[in-house]
Parts: sequence; structure tokens; C-alpha cells
Amino acid sequence: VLLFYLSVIDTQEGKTQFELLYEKYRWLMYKTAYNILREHQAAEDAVHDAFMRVALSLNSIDDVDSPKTRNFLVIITRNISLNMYKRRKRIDLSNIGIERPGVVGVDNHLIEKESYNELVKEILKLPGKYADVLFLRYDNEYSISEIAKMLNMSYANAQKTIERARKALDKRLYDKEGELIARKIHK
Amino acid sequence: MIKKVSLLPERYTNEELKEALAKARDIRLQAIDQLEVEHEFSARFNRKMNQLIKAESKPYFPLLNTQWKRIVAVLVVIIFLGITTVACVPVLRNRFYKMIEDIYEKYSRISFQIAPEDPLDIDPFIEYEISEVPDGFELVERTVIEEDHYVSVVYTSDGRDIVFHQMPMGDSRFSVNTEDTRLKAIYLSGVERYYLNDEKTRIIFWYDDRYVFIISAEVEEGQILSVAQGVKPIE
Repeated sequence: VLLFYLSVIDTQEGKTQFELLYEKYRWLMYKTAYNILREHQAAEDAVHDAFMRVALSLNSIDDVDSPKTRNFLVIITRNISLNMYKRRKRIDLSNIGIERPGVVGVDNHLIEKESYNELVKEILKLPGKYADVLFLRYDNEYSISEIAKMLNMSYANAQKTIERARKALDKRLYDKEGELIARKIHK
Repeated sequence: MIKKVSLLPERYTNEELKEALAKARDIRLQAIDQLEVEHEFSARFNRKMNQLIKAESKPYFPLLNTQWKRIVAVLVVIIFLGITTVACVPVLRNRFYKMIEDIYEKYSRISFQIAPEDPLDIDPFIEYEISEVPDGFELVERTVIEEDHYVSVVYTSDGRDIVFHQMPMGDSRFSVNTEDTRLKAIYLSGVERYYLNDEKTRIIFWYDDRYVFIISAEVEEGQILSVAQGVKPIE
């Protein structure tokens, strides 16, 4: 409760942390949403819903100006926009550009040309939802419970998605160096 | 936080993963910055956002942030006032875990799959210890990270090590050298364990419904099995 009260205390020029986030990032979030939904009103709705979710996770945000915070807001907006898209279109998301492996606006061929190390390249090529949970878990260092709340999923689902993301990343790196010979499942 | 066991060099360390994610994050954000979208926020959006900003500053916002929650909150009050008895039915569930062994040419990677309907609940932290080591071995290192439920203990004698790890099952992954050997399932004190005999290092690991336990030691087979049998929670 105390933490919540602290989060609504005015931070700068009489503005709450939430207002600062809104002023600073609404445009970034809008671009993220529009890039998926391709409709202005739908993108605005996604941004509004994303801010609703952000308002419930304010305690997880330390620094309004940090790149980690920017990325967090992008991830929340992406998650909400993709869910909206799925509901509206009812089609396989793999058919649309945004959910192809790769980064928003960055082509896989361009990633390969750059001199990033292999790990960075493979992260950039991960499907969006896998990259998102890895960012939240290991870059923002949120707990699984926090991630579950942020992405509106169950704890078990968040845990499973993180595991799958790690495995997908491992597989991409393994595939470059050697073949998986067999998999044994022990119960 | 994932703790890795240095049984084999990994493709990347946690630090390298963090650095790579930071770099990838910057590239990703830069890509979004470069998107060209022209738009002026509508009056409807501005009005909704102003309402949200006002509502957010209220201390009870987390309780009343959606229409459904408002309805539920009212119903809860009504039900609470009218209720006289509450019957609780315990929910029985069978836990379901799988250990996955991915076998590569020179090593195997071990990870665990937990049924999504049965998330791992490992609180409170229970610390385990090795209660018995072969003669001559002395404790030289002990790391306990309570919040991560992680324990690592090293005993040494004449340059030979016995290393014990305790890790929560959900996040744990590790690799073992299986170039000229294979993992063998054995039963020890009624518990199924996995045993591996490398050139000079012997490895045994097992798990319960919360933790994975790994012992890697440069000792005889009988000695590592005794060490494994002596692992128990600290009372």
C-alpha cells in the first residue's frame, strides 16, 4: 500500500509518474500499436489499454527515462495490440509481417549484415513474444509473477513462455554448431 | 534468476545474455523510432486518457480499474454481508513434471518441463546440505541465495573438488559431458537419480517436486553415491 501511495506522489512539476510516462511515451506506444493494427482508432484504443495495464505495474518502474522502461512500454503495447489484432481478424498471426521472426522495421537480411554478435542476432530473430519475455525477465529483471501480470497471463504460462524462449534461443545457436541427436523425456 | 552450473561451458553466460538483450533492445527501439506514422490524437482518446490519469491518482485505483471489477467489488460486498457459512473443498491435483534430456554429439542438456496447470510453488526456501564427505575433504566455498532458492557448496581435498548445487526446478538447465558415455538412471535410497561417469569426474543428479540437486565430484563411484545419499534439508 505504501509503495502504491509513493507511486502517485507528484514527481516533477506537479506531475505523477504516470503522467510523465504518458507524456513521454504515448507517441512511441502509438507507433508500436499502429504498426500492428494499421487503424488509427484501434491503435489509440490499444495505447489506452496499455496505459491501463501500466498503471497497475507502476511499482515495477524505477526510472521513467530508462531505455528499459521504454522497452517495457513497447512490450505491453505490442502484447495488447497483437491480442486486439487476433480478436479482430481471427487469423493466424504468422501471416502478418509484424509477428514474423525479426524486429519491428528491421529486416532479417539487415540483421545478418550488421556486425552484432551471434547472440544479439538470434535474439533479434526470435518471435516477438519470446523476445518480449526474455527482455522482461533478464533485461528488466522482473519476476515471473510480475511478467504474468504485465502480459495478462497465468504464472504457469509466463514461466512456460520464458522456458520456451530460452530453448528457442538455444536451438538457434545450437543449429549453427551442431545437430540435436536425440531427445529423451524422463517422467 | 537462472543459476547455471559450470559442468560444461555454455554457449553464453547470463551476463552475456543480459548484454546481448540490452543491445537488441536498443536496436529494436531504434527501429520503432524510425517508423514514420502521422497522426493527431483524437478528442475521444485525449478524454479517455485524462479520465485514466485522474483515476490513476486515486489510491483505490488498483481495485476499481475496470467495469467488471467495479461490478465484482459490489457483488463481493453483498455476498460478504449475506454469508453465514463457507464450505471449502480442497482441490487435489497431481503434479506432473518431465525431465528433458537433449542429446548432442558431445554433451547432453538437461531441462525440466512443468505442467502449465500446476505452477511450481517453491516457497518457503528449504536449504539442503551434504551431511557426509569422504575423509580429507574440507568445505571451501558456500553460496546461498535465499530469494533464488539456490545453494552451491564446494569441498576440496588435494586439488579434487566435490561440488553440490541445489536449484529450483523450474528455471534450471545444465549441460553434462556425454561424449563417450551416457546418462544412467539408478535408484538410490528409493529415489531415481541420474548418474554419469566422465573420465575423472562423476556426476549424479536428481530432483524432487521443488528442487534439482547436482553433485559433481572427482571421487570414486561408491564415494559419490554416499555423498548423494547424505544430502538432506538443514533442520
